Amino acid sequence: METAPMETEQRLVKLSSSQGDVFEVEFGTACYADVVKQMIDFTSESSDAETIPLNLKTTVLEKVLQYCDYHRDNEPKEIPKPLPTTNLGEIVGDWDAAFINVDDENMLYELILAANYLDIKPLLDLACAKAACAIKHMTPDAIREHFNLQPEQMTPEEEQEMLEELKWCTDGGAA
Amino acid sequence: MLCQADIRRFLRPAAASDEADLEPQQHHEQQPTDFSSPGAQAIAHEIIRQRNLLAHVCDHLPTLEAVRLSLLSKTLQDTCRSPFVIRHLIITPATHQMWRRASRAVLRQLRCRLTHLQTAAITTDEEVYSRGPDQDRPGDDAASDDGREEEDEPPQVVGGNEEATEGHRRALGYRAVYAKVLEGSAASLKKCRLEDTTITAPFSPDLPAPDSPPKVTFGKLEEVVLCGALWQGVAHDRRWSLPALKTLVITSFPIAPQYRSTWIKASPRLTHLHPCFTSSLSAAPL
Repeated sequence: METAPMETEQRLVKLSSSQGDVFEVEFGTACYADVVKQMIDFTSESSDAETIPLNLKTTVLEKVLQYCDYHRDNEPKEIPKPLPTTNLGEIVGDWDAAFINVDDENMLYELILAANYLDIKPLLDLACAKAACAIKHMTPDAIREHFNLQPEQMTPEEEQEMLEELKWCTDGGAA
Repeated sequence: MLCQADIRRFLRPAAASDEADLEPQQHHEQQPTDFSSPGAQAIAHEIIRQRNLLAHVCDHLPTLEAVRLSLLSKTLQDTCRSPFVIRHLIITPATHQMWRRASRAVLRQLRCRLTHLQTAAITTDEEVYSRGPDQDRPGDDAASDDGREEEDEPPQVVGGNEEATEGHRRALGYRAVYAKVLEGSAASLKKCRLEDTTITAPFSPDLPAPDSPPKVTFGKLEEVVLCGALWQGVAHDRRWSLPALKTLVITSFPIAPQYRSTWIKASPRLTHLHPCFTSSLSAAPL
């Protein structure tokens, strides 16, 4: 028997993280992620109460669901490219700016992977914009220092070659 | 200090599986590489995924800043050389100051790397009229790349006094440099905006229609916005074919009828032609 639209909206869906934690969310929230929607469509044919396993850590899944729940009824603003400013609040709105303002930069990376995995384009866009903000206007040296990037093994010749190749687009190459 | 896992994970082709951690010699000793093996495919997929994610980040950066990421590390240099990483070309009067310093060899290299652009926005100001492409490349090879190669026709400048003519010739030199970058992405470019913010007197060149076949075909280019007179003749002079072009917006200047005719003839699917004259001689804001 077909499910009525209202019933579908109110239906709860179970999603589990890779660590085994289960989240029960509304159908509309879960379906904000195209991949989850496809999984629901697939599992609906076999079983009603099946939990959908997602290869995401609990903290990341929780964060993603927070995003989906908010944006299922609030269309996110399109982010202009390239970013006109590094102050994301001016571009994406307060809620998104606060959402993506994560202290742990590893979480930012995990969110990018999660958005990519679940095919949530606005979240991917937002997280990548945040990553871009972190490095925009920074010189390569400043980026290395900021992120504590250890130089890879490179011969002096290779390093010189790289510097020569990109001299034109660095401040050091100013005429 | 910030967490080390973060951005660096974009920068390294990741080990998709335990097999990826093996030294190459352990993997391939005395055997040809088997690219169909699950291990090799997993590594390839992971590299592509990392590269695509980096491309998403680079989408938010001006082109030059994305190019500069190469300087971070050898790995990133390799990744950034992938033509799939930079998908948007953005040149502003400020970044033009740097582009004009790029040597002939660098420009050639960039043209090979920027082959999958989807959009382009090129904005130049009076600078392109006042300083020629040869002037800012100390130590570069004598035959600097002003965009012209042996097979190119010389820039045609009609009318005006000698100084204005020389300025226009310089500007056409830069136009050719950037046009060649666009042509490198002829198969992928979907939208472009070509803007010259200077106040230049309109001119009507007396040019015959190109009788030779098109030189470059932009197979996916659907929308072009022309602002300012500099770019009006590019389709004519460089013999562009625009089979997918649906929308042509001409703003801020009255396009010469001969050039307009070339755009239309080159675009059999053109459905929207918008000549928007805010002012025939006004300069668009930066």
